Amino acid sequence: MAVDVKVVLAGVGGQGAVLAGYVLAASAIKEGLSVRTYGDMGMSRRGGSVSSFVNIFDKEGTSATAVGTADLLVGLEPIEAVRYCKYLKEDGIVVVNSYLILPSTVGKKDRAELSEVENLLEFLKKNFKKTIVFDANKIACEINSLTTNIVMLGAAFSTGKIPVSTETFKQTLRDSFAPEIAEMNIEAFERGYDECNRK
Amino acid sequence: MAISNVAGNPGEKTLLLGNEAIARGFIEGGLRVAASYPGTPASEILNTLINVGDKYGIYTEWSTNEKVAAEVAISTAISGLRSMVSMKGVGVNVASEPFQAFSYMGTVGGIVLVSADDVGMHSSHTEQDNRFFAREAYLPIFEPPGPMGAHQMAKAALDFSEKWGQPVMFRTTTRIGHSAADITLGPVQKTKEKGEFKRDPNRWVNLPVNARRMRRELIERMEKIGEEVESIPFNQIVAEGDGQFGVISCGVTFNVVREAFKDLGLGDKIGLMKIGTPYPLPKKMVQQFLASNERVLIVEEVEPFVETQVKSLAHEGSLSTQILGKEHIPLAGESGPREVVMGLSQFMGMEPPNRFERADRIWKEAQALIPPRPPVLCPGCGHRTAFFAINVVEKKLGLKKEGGIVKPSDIGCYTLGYQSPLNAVDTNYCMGSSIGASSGFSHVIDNKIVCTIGDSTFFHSGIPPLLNAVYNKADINVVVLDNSTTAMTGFQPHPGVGTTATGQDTKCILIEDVARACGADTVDVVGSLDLDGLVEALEKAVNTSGVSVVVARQPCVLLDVRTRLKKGEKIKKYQVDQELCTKCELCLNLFGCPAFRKIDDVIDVDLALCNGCAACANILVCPQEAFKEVD
Repeated sequence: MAVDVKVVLAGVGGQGAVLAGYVLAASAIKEGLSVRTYGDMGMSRRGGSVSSFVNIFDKEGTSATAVGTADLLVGLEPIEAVRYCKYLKEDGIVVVNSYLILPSTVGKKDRAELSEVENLLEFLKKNFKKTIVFDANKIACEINSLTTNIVMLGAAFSTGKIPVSTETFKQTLRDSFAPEIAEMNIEAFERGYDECNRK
Repeated sequence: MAISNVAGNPGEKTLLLGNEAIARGFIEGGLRVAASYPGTPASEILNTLINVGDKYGIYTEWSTNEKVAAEVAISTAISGLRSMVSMKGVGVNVASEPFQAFSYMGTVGGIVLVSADDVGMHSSHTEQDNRFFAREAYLPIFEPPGPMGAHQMAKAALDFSEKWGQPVMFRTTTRIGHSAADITLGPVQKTKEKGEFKRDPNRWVNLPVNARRMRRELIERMEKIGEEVESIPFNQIVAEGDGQFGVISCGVTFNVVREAFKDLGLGDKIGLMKIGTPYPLPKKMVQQFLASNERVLIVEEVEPFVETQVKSLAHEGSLSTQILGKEHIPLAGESGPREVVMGLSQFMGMEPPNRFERADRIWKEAQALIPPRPPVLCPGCGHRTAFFAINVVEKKLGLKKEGGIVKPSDIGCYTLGYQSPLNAVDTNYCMGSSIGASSGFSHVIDNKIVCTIGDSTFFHSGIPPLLNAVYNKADINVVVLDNSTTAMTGFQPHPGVGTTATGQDTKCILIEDVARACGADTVDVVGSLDLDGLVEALEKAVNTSGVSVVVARQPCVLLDVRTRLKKGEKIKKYQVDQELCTKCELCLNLFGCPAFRKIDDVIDVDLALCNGCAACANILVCPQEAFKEVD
């Protein structure tokens, strides 16, 4: 069967959405597939909204993802998951970190109302076929707070939507990073995978 | 990035970012010199070449600005070697003059000006289409459809430039530069180390007597180039169609158009022509395509650059083909899958697919649930403290009543001082504009003026306006926000850092020395996190007439924390003592560190985000002094 999978990663600048997108893309190349990615850079350092689009295919594809066409949305933060969910198909899957990061530019009158994570999760559940929610920050912080992105990729792999084997992905981590960093991320990946495999 | 292997062996397949693919293309084309000034979306081209320059014998430099970078590259080309100069789209404005002149002279070695246009304005202040600049300067344009095409075209552009003795523009966009694809590496042409300058003043000195002759030669050269582009593979009639409808697509829209054909089920009914050299156009090929189609849609981003030329070619060839373009394809912003599908279905008289309705409804509902998340200054950033200090001084001196301090600013991370709650950026036009704008204001308004400019921007284009302010007796205060790097584009060094692009030690030029040399009336240097010191220095500056310069210096917190962690240092963090907190929210409403949060009526610090700058421990940020160091 032809491979044509579109993944959207969305998060807050500093969480590593773009880097995670690259590692995912590199792992797909290892399996002989083609990839096109597009990631935000430049004016989106710490604190801004950041996204990464990863399209994996075996014949033809583009880096541009139209609204309503993605198969999987990986939300590193719930507000950003909602911001980018328009790209997802109706029968697409959302994997979302429940840990909220409220923008510092939010004025005092909106602060309380916008802090309700449940509203955001309900919205995702209502609009898409399947929404998997878990606290990726809690898991990441037990390993290293910088591994949230890879915990989330572990969860994304557990949906079975990504046409790359977990072994190839772990090997890509080993090939791309220093041994201690790779091992830390492999642990993060496995923890995310196991946490959501049951959901 | 260890994930990609720009320096891999020929035949190897690797993930390359568009900008890395461009760099690799230049390497394969035997590049000798690469110069640039950092700017999104171009920065990664030179970053990549710096990392592998040693291996391939390429000299790389971060020049002080785009004009200087252009001059460095031009001298290489005149010496018979190959060079490239890359910059963000708006940087071409700065590099314009040398290229206007050099185009007349023509080149010896291949030379490519990379214009990375920011279509969609992801991180630029204009969406300008530099193909018009290239046309005006007689620079043939190579415009790739994506990272793979960019890889092939970068090498081809160097070859083409050398073959025809003409500098070339390589026009890319953010979408291409920041997309990544699996790319198969090609063989590398080895460069010579030394060039040769052949003295020829009648050519290299652009006195009018020479320029008049060279302009005529340039026009002849371009006519021949016009013939050549008929046969290069980047221009191509891809599909003949059934003679009714045809699309001419240029640049990044090409792959989007092909996807849209699939999406709309158009199959082989519709003709398709691909343009890789929008200037000069392959005239005969375009006219042939027009002659075989009744109606043609031109799909290109931003300005109707190809469109107007095609219309003129139709006129020249007495062709009655109906030509449409910007009637259906937007002038502003990127032309992504949606814009192209909509434009194409309008052009064909078809119903557009209805899946956008669902996406639109979801987006409308989503917007009601979520706040915008603009980029902001990082936790612990010295710029925040400096802007906060300016606001404190404004209040302390009672200036708010008199219309407040006018605060021109400039281009860099610190433009984010615009965001709430700081609101400390009143104007910003272009690189270096803060000081020139302040001079202008000081002659026509009574407000006190405090402008902000970053260190890299100061070296780029802040020095002539500072001299101007002193010379023309302006009464202004200039705060140089010195974080000792070019932060927003990824930590490139500049003359005030003490290292070159490749990490070699070099002279470190201090901004305070330059300011004194420019004749500033007072010059003070303060640590950006020393809130009390900043307030004192700013108060003095505002109360002194003439040109006062305050250098607020603190290494970029991201770099600083990274370096300290590597050394094994611990970062001291700060947390709110809930016993002392009165929930006045002044910290959130006036200072606004992104690490501060308020959940369930409790204000505290997200320790994962805190970078330990300690600014919050100052009584000016929290009157209760509730922020305490965490053990």
